[in-house]
Amino acid sequence: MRYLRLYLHFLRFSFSRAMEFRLDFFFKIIMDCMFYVVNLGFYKILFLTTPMLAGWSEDQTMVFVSSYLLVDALHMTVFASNMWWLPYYVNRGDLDSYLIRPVSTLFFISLRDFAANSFVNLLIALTIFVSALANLQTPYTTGQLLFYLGCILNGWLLHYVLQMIFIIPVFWTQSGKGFNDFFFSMGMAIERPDLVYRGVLRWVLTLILPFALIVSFPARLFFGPATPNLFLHLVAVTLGMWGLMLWLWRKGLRAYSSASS
Amino acid sequence: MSWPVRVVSTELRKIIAYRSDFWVNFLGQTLIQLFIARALWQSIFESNGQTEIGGFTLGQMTLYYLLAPLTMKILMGENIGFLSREIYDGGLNRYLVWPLPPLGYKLLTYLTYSGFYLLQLALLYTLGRLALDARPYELSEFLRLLAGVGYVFIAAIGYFCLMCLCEMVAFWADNTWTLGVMLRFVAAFLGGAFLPLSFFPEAARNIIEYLPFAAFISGPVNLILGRSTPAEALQSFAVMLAWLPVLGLAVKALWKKGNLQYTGVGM
Repeated sequence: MRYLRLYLHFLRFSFSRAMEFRLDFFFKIIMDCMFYVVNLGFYKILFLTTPMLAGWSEDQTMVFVSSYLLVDALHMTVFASNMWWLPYYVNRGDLDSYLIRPVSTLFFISLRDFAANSFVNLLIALTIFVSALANLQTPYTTGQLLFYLGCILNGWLLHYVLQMIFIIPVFWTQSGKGFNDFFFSMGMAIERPDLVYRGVLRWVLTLILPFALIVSFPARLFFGPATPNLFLHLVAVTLGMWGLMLWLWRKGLRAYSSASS
Repeated sequence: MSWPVRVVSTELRKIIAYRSDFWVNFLGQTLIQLFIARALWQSIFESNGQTEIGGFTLGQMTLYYLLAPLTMKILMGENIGFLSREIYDGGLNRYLVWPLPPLGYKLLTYLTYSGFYLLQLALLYTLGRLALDARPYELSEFLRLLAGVGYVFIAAIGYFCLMCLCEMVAFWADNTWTLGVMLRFVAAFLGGAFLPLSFFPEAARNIIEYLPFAAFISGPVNLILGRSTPAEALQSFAVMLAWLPVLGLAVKALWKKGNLQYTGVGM
């Protein structure tokens, strides 16, 4: 309850801060809209050359695409701004002021800044998602849809965990740039159906760096056939990654040397 | 030692100062993106049962996806924030006492990054070409690579101008990194870094080929891969050259206007 009250304060401060920089607020909304247009355009053009992609028709692929736009919008709204600043806190020793507060440091540094502009984009992404669902030819029940939404939320949390795993090495490397850039280029792995990956690449993207699980696995579970193995894989890897992230975080804090990092 | 040489040598030292960053970036980013693009196209080639799509074999498509993101990286040089940060925090003041033209200095540091990534492109392309294409490597291919490298380097000056136009909005607005990201999305998509432009509908292509983005990215990539005829390569190069003075003049005008706004203290 204390954490919920604290989060409501974060929301209030974030909205008032966003309204102070109005031009920036609108620039960010336009930027995310461009991201959506480019991604939808990419697949629309791709389907001019092929009727199916990794076993999915165009309407199924559009649900998949709109789902990763939704995950991206959720991430940008809740976590992204906070993730951006963490390497700087570590590098400059600013993390000190978060460590001494009487709340979980991980909670504080992950959720402090709520991106109000991205909240607007979240609504746009949601509209694209609903429109893609409306055009989906594959029949589905309300239960299946709710299950899919649950898996998408799991994908959103997995996305956060993976980004943290890429940021935490800053405790040892002093610069977060390389790993951060690497994480963003891995974003492409989220944006492709996992069935296109084979061999070692598939093994890497579904187990070691499980970016393919964020949206593609939920979409496969939704379009069917939903096998228990696929769902167990999703749950096991997500829990494993959470455990790894928490372990790395504790190790990182032990290696943290304050202002001289 | 003259100041341009000093600037280039200092920037080169900065690039390789964080070695882990450098290797993660160079190997991880380039190779992972390439593998993902190849996996996607391999799946499309197999599901269509074709050996050639849009004039590309799978090997040529792989080489395209090796070259296009690297070209984008070269164009982006020093990356977003190279000028706006200094405008924002008052760092531009240092150029009052430095005996250097501010934009000349910025161009040189930007091109040092571009030049460094150009070496990566030449090396990776040569290795990729030998691994992915069974045909013997000919002298004409080497000459095309050299011409393409020169082309991309000049294109980097054009992209620097586009980036400057975005960065200089910082004279009026607080936070402008979003404009750089928007430019990157548009340039990558309309330039053919995400998808070869030959896959775009013809009506769109007829407009896109006169925009700077296609001339900056698709032009040199198609030249290196030998996918464009000499006439097409020259047309693309001419479009790029035509855009350079336009962008240069726009940068000059905005710089002049922006300087009148500059207060010299951090915002």
